[in-house]
Amino acid sequence: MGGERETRWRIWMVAAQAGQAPAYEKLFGELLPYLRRFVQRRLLDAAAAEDVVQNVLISIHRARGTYRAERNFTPWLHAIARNAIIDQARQQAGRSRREVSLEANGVAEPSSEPVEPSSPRLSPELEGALSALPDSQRQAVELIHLHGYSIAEAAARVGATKAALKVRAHRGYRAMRAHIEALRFEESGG
Amino acid sequence: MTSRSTEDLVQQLVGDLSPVKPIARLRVAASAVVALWAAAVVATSWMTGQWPRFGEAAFWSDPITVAVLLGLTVAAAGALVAALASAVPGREPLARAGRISAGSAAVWLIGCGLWAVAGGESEPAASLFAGSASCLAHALVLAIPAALAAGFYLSRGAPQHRLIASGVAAAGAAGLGALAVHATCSVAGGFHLLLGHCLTPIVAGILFALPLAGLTRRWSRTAFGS
Repeated sequence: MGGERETRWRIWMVAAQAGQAPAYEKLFGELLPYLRRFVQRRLLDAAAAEDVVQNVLISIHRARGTYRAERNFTPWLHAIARNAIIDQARQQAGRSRREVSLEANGVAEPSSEPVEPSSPRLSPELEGALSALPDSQRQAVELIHLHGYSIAEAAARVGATKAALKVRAHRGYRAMRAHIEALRFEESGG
Repeated sequence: MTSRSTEDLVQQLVGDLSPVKPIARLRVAASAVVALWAAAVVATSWMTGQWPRFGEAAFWSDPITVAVLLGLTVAAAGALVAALASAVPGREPLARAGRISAGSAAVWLIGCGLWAVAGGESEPAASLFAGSASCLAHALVLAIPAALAAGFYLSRGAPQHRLIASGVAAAGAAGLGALAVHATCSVAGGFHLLLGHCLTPIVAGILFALPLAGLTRRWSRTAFGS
């Protein structure tokens, strides 16, 4: 069973490397539930797990040239998935260390379901900081942190690469933090 | 995020599919790196008239010289294997083994250099630094073709940490360069051995990680458009 699946995935991947979209679609069709199980077994947070699954799919797409037909497909897949899980854990840890807590500043908990950008509940302080950002950074912060989109989804919505969107959001965050800190400094009479 | 959005992503990726050439085998890439290095060594030796001293009994009779030769060989091989393997998902165990070998060899080389310093005579500072800098520069020049080849392979692969992989590749290539220099250099002296030969891979790894990472990123963008 596992051997048949391995052979099937290998054949589809080789076909995908040759540019055959139907084989690629079949491969992703079988990989998706498999990856969800693989990632969910290792991450407790379901929303984060789905983010990781999306990152794994994007990584597979970008790294598809690194697969060689004479090697097994599953170890290649697992390596990509493990790296994505490690990245996610690292980002999560980094985020919680560096960033201003939005919740502490009056922002509602991001929903696990995406909502259309409407009127997020923000404190006046945060609203001011957000509106001071350049459009591209504001859009990135809103999509990811206020509306709960994954990086991949948000990047797809604005037509940017994932990396570019992450950079915009990070810069936006830093600028917001600086804005809020300056405001508090002024208020405290500093 | 919903499951539907992941399905959308799949459709988007399928729509973006274009043919790709599978990456070369690791052994082919490693052979290419070594072949380019060897060509650079032969060309330089032919131009300068300085050939490796492997035929001289004096070369093999000095234990420190042999120990440094061994250390540079293991450091270069380990670092290059680590760098090349890190470009291919699923080859992490090989990359780890390469990193461990290279790290151990770096410690060995520092030990050899310090051993040579402790056991050697004092050297005049001016000639010491000039001679060491000359050997270091020569090794780095000899490392360029191998570093570019390794960088090209990294650009075709998917290294998890591009900067680290580039630094390790630069260290490995510089290890090959230092190996060639060590085999031809007849300058004696502990400090010269430490500064001009033993530390070359470490110095190159630190100095050239960023430029090589930038180059591989640029090549990667040119090839894949992302």
